[in-house]
Amino acid sequence: MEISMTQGSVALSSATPIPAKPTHAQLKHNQLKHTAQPPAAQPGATIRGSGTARKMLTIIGAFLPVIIIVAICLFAPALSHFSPTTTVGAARLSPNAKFWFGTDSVGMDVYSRTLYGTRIAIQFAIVVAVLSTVLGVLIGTFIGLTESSKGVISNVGRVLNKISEYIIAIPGIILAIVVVGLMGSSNFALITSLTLVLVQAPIKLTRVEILQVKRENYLEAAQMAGESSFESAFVHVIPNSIGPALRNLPLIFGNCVINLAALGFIGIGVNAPTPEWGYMISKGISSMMLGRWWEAVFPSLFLFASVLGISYSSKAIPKAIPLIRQLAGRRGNQ
Amino acid sequence: MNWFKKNMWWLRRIVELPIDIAAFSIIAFFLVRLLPGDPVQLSLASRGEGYTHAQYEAQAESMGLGGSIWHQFANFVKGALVGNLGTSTVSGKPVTQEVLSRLPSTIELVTLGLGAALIFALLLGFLYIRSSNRTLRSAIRTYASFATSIPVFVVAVFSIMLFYVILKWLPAPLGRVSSGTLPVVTGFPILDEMLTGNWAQLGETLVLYILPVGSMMLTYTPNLLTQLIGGLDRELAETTTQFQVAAGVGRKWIYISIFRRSLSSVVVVFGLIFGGLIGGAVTVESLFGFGGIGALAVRSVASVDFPALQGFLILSVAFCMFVFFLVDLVNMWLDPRRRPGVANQED
Amino acid sequence: MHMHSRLRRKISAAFLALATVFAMAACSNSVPDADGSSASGGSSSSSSLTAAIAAMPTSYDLEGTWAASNENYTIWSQTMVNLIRYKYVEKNGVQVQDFTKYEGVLADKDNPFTVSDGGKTYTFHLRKGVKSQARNPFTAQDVYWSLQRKLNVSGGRLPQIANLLDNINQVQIVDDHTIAIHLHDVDKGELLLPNLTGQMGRIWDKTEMLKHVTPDDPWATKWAAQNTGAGYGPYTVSSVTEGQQLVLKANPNYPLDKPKFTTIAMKVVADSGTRAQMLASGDVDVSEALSPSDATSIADKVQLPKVDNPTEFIGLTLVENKAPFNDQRVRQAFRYAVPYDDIIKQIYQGKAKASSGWITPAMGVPGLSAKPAYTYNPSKAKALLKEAGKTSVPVTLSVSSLVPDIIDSAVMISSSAKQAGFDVTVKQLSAADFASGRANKTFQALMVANRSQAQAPAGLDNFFSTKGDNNSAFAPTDEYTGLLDAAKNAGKSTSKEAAPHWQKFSNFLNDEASNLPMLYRQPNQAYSTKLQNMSYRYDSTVDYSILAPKS
Repeated sequence: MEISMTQGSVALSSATPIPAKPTHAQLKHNQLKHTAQPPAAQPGATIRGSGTARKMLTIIGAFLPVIIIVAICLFAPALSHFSPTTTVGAARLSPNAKFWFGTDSVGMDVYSRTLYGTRIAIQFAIVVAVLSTVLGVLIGTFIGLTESSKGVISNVGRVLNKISEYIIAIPGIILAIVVVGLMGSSNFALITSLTLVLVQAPIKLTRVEILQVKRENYLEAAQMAGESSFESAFVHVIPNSIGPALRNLPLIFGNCVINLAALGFIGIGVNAPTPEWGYMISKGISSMMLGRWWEAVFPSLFLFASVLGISYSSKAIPKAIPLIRQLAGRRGNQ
Repeated sequence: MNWFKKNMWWLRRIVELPIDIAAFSIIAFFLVRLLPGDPVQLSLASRGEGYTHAQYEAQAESMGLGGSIWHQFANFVKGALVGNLGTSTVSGKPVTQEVLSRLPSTIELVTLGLGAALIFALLLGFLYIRSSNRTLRSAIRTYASFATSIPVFVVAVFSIMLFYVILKWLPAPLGRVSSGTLPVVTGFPILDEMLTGNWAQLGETLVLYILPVGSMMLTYTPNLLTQLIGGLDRELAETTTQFQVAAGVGRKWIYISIFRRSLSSVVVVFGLIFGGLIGGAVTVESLFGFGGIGALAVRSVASVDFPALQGFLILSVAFCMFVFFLVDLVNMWLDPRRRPGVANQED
Repeated sequence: MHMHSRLRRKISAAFLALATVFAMAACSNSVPDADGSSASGGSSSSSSLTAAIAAMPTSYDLEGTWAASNENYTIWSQTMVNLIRYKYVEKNGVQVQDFTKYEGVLADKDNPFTVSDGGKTYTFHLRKGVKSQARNPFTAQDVYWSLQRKLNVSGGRLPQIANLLDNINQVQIVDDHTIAIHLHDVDKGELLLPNLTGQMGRIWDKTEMLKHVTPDDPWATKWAAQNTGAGYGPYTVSSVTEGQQLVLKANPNYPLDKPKFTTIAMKVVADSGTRAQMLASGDVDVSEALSPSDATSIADKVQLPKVDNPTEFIGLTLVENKAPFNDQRVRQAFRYAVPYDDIIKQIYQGKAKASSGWITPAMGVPGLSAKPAYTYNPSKAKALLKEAGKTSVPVTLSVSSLVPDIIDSAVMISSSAKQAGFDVTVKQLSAADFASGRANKTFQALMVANRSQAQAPAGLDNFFSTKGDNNSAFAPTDEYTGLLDAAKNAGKSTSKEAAPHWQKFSNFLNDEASNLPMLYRQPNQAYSTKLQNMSYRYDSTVDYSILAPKS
């Protein structure tokens, strides 16, 4: 028992082994977590020089992808030359001086649409990532605290846990299709469906963590001291079990962008003519097969680069933070 | 008694499996009926003329959607107990036939795609611990960091573009055979071609599988590879390994031992991607003209085909649960420490 | 225990090695094959033909399980035939059906029917010696049973036929090869022939169908939805690989000219551009349902059928039952806000023409105006809006997510309508949501691809029937009924006397502006240059039975 517990905590903090008794419920979080954590080639970790310039470079390097993405989102109107949702020229022009990435099948500017696509993707991703993490932590805590207790509330916890297991067994894209089908096509429906798919990992991560924290002595101590169980959940349990779910957050980000693109590809994503990458790629396939590569290639590149960029920054920034402290401390000393 | 205790860890899962599937079936029944749109009205409206209430009732009855929802539910349960999941409102075919004529081909494709990814990941993992070339090692790490960064359909589109349209090295993505009809025995195309001795068709199918299987391999290898490399890095540093080296165990055996211990998280991720792809392969399948189970789900949602959609959900979830069960078994077999009862931890 | 686990390790290692070897072998084997098969790609044999289609057909019996799709229509037309069909007339290499001329299929070729009783009785002279796909002899009994089925089949009678016949007693078997239909009303005659020619007039092989009848299913709809072989058409479905392909085999007993291609392999290729690319590179012989721009991209490598009078249209419906389109001036203003020329140029690549109204030249009404009913005119639109007391009108335009050229058109409308005072939001819906909303008249505005199955002006009444889902919540006014009756009573629709009345009727519908074709588009199929006898039919499907290799 002790052994497995240790293994479990190692798993959750260092993102390496899978906990002792993996049920499929526990597994998803490992996939999500592990995929995001290629163990090496991380900036910061390999930097040994002590030069200020070098440290600055590392810090900038860590933040650069996120800064670029945020800049594109904020300044999309200034960077693009045309409206992303209206016909601005002849259809199907190849890239040229006026339309840098060419035009699509209705004569909209692919460059402007691709830039604005970053905005759409990031908006969705932020909302879904925050929503999934917050809900995941709350639901996971509830399940973790109640499922092994007694009374009606424990049944609620167990049912929630079971439902979560069923949802994990439904292929993600299909679940999203069904939810969008149920709610009708709208941004709200897309956010709900993506959240439903992606909330499962934080639920499971938090639940496993709670099960461990519950065994810690201070919880008992708190209860003895007369705190209600809800109070103790918020004061002690959640803060102590939130780590894995938070580390999982950037992954939800990337997964959200990819799932949104897949839904756009199937044709149930955002409404036309919203500049969404997946929708642009799927509409561009026909053109690509006939030699007009620019409609699909540019959004694909942006999609790839932004997901990679976010996952890079999410790994690099934590490593860079100590360096920032060092630099700030030095400056303070001067 | 002792035997039961020892084998409880998988016996319990086997007993739970059908209970879970039954519970999920009930959820699925009510869930699909929340879809907006009325299949009866849809089938009548597309005749281009009006209809009376009596006609509506007659049509609903003939589609198996007559009466109250409880009446339908009773019929559903009665049918499901004998393996009858109703008839598709779109095609008029039994739902079990609709699902089972598509599911095996999807399973085959996903197995090949992920199987190739697994083999590729193992090869790279082997190179990773064998090689002392830093460039190669960091290249493998970089490739591993591409995990979950690009959708599989984008890779597939680019591969079709490159190998069919530009280079013309591979034939048109026109399904599994370029001429004739796939034989059907088990529903698994390659297996059926072998069973019926259609070697020429088998060759065609293998060629037509290169791009989809290759795309899946390229897309999913990084997901498996990050797991593997993480495990290898950890296991190399383990005392067990150091002990083996010190004890002069053969190099080959050390590698095998390290791989075996590193594999469990790879197997887990393999199972999860596998489950997700049972419906999620729809994008790849549609690009290559493969049909497949995901297309049935998309069609059923678009045409509010309640029976087909619920049948799809039930059978594919049952399959996924079975896969997860297998994953757990394989893992517990790979590493007995993981078995409940060995180091018990509440679930 | 220790030994045991060591053994297991060995086994697992051996298994992995084996798997690796197998996979490597599979890969290396398949490489030489790749060259071989791409070299011999394409269908070189003259008796078989490969077509790329967009989706699998879902039902083979469109009387029992109706689902409107191009693929369903195609199989329905290629496996089943009627008593009569429209005569094919060649024009620019395309066999175009002339909607005013009939020839016999199961009826005698040159003398298919005679009209008597002042136009109320149609007597069909059946072809002798015809055998069905199941080799049963064809008699008047088969026709009688088929009509009976149309009046009774599950889900309600087929309305188009039921509107003409209320009772099977109106059908009389004169002898084995003669059957008469007695109408109550002379002007129903103008719709009887188009309906017997079209989708609703297919004839079944009674003997074969009765084998598949069950007590629950007296019209064998379950069997017929999944099986062919109980008809007289040029082909039967010989095999289906679900979601991938469908193979048609020629029917040796087909009464008309035997099909030149005895095997038609229809392969599902979901993407329009890929279908076009495959045709251009010779991997398939026919590609269906190409988007206009994809067809244009391969124009110099393939044959694209072009017809003088396309009948398939993109309809723009402005639903009258609620604001803003309950005001005729707002409806007209919206029509002036549509950039017809830009849509035709950019999306349809010139392969469409702006609509002059409901009555197409193919209907044969002489001397009808060909002037577009509306043109893009933002200032006129604004003036009309001002008259209606409005300046900026928000509109939600609903479209089905399945039809890319309609989505593109809607997007262009939303771009251009801004200058005309409309703020248009495009809403894409699943096919089912779209059909429900359309039938329930809950949309403000919608676009849909459509065609008049009966190419006779009197048949247009169907589009305004309050029961139907084509209706735009338009309640037929006295003026409407008056104009329609006057036109119907003025004689045959193809006569000079009736023409001015039909023009008035058409003008009325244009001014009403609620439910109108927006543009008529060219056929969306493309053929290999090695083929001749491309077809243009009332149902816009490819007639594979008349396709032939170029000599």
